[in-house]
Amino acid sequence: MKQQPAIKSYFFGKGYRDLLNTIKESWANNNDSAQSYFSDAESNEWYLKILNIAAGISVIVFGTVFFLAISLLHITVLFFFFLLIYIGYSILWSTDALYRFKNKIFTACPHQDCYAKNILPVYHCPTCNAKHDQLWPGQYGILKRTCQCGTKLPTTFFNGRSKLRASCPSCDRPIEALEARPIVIPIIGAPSVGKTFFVFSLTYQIKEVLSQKNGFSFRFMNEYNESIYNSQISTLNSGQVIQKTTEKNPIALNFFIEKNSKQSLFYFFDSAGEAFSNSLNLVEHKFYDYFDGLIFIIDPFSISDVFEKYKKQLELNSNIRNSTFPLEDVYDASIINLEKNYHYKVKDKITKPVAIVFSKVDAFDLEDYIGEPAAMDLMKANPKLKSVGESIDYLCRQFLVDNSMEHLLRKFESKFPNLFFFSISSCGEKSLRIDKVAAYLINRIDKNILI
Amino acid sequence: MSDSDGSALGAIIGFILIAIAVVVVVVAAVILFGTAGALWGSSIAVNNYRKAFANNVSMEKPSIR
Repeated sequence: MKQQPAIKSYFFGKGYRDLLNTIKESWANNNDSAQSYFSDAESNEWYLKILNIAAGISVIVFGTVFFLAISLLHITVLFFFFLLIYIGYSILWSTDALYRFKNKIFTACPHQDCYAKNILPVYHCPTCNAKHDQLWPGQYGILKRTCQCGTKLPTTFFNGRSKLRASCPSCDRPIEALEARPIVIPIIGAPSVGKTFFVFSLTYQIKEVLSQKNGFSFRFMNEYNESIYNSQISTLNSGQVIQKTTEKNPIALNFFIEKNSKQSLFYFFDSAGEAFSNSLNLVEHKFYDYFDGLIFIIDPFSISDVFEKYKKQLELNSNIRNSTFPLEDVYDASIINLEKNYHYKVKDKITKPVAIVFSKVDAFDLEDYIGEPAAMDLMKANPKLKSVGESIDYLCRQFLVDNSMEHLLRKFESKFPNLFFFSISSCGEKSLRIDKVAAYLINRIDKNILI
Repeated sequence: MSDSDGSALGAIIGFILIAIAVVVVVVAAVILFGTAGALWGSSIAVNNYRKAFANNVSMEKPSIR
């Protein structure tokens, strides 16, 4: 364990030193006592001489026997208490570690240019602000640790550790995760596909609709997230266009969801589309090391065949900003990044849940191809399709095939065995089917929050 | 039996009794001095251990910042 700004527990350091020093000093004292009697014997009367010599011999013989007996007793009693403490420490350390392992709790830094993953954040003493970067049961304390300033700090998940002020061990910026399970979902897509529209519309759906329906509570991680959300969602709800995302290294949008006394902290990472032009831009996106699911946003108008079909209408509708970035390049950059910089091999399948989302489906007559009306028609024709969602999934795949993107579809299907297609529109409160994307991902990532 | 035989027997018995008495006194003295020595040595050892314990065993206090 690294040095901490705290007092080591007596049983992990000073106890041994005190025992050793006590034994050494006691032995030295006995020797001094015997020597003093022998010294006194040199200058006394003969009967006193005999008495002093006898006393000296008595200290050496019987004193040593009793010194050994008392030392043994001291060692036995102390080690008995040490053993109890070590057993208690082992149980608590294991319980704390097991709880974090079982609930998949770790610290993911949401800050731009960091995104580091750590076991726990650095906790700060509320009195002196000293940094404790290994605040768990150990040699500095089992249930509580005494900071160098004297303040007692909790060391486990069940006695208040998560309530302490925390910061990222890598970048030093504040962490407000409260030891909730992080659920990390990067949004992938070319420029102007509608990632930012999607993220805030999705958050709206989770906050305003799904939380009421499914009995979980929602709150933003901090005021920054809430103010960003409020600003963007009011822009969306008023029908205006959100400003283009420019940060290649995104700041996460964070909110807590709590159900059955278990908290999860969502991280949506919305990078600028330009980041996906090259896998080198994604090297710093360390959240790909621990993501739980992916959302690929596809602008239907970024597909050449589709663009050609709607070209004239797009020219007349300036409020529909279509993406001109090659769709396959986004896919390739993302996959290359995962293979080169993280632990995915070329032949590996990524089994995490992936949502492929066609955006802007409310434009023109796209709903008649990949929307609900088309899905209802399909279900009538094909009774094997049991739900609108399944039908839309089928229609979206077919849409790619019909528009010369079958090779991309095959790439998606071979790399992500756990994927599903959606068609949505992101308009804040008037969004279409965004709640389905949320339900699909959340149900597969966190079984505690079933939607 | 003559008078001289009776005196010799008495002397032998007396000698044996005195020898037994001496042995008893010596053994008693050894036990007494041994016990005294043991008590003395042990009390010195216990006292020394007590002093060493008091000097060395204490909980560490936090530094005041």
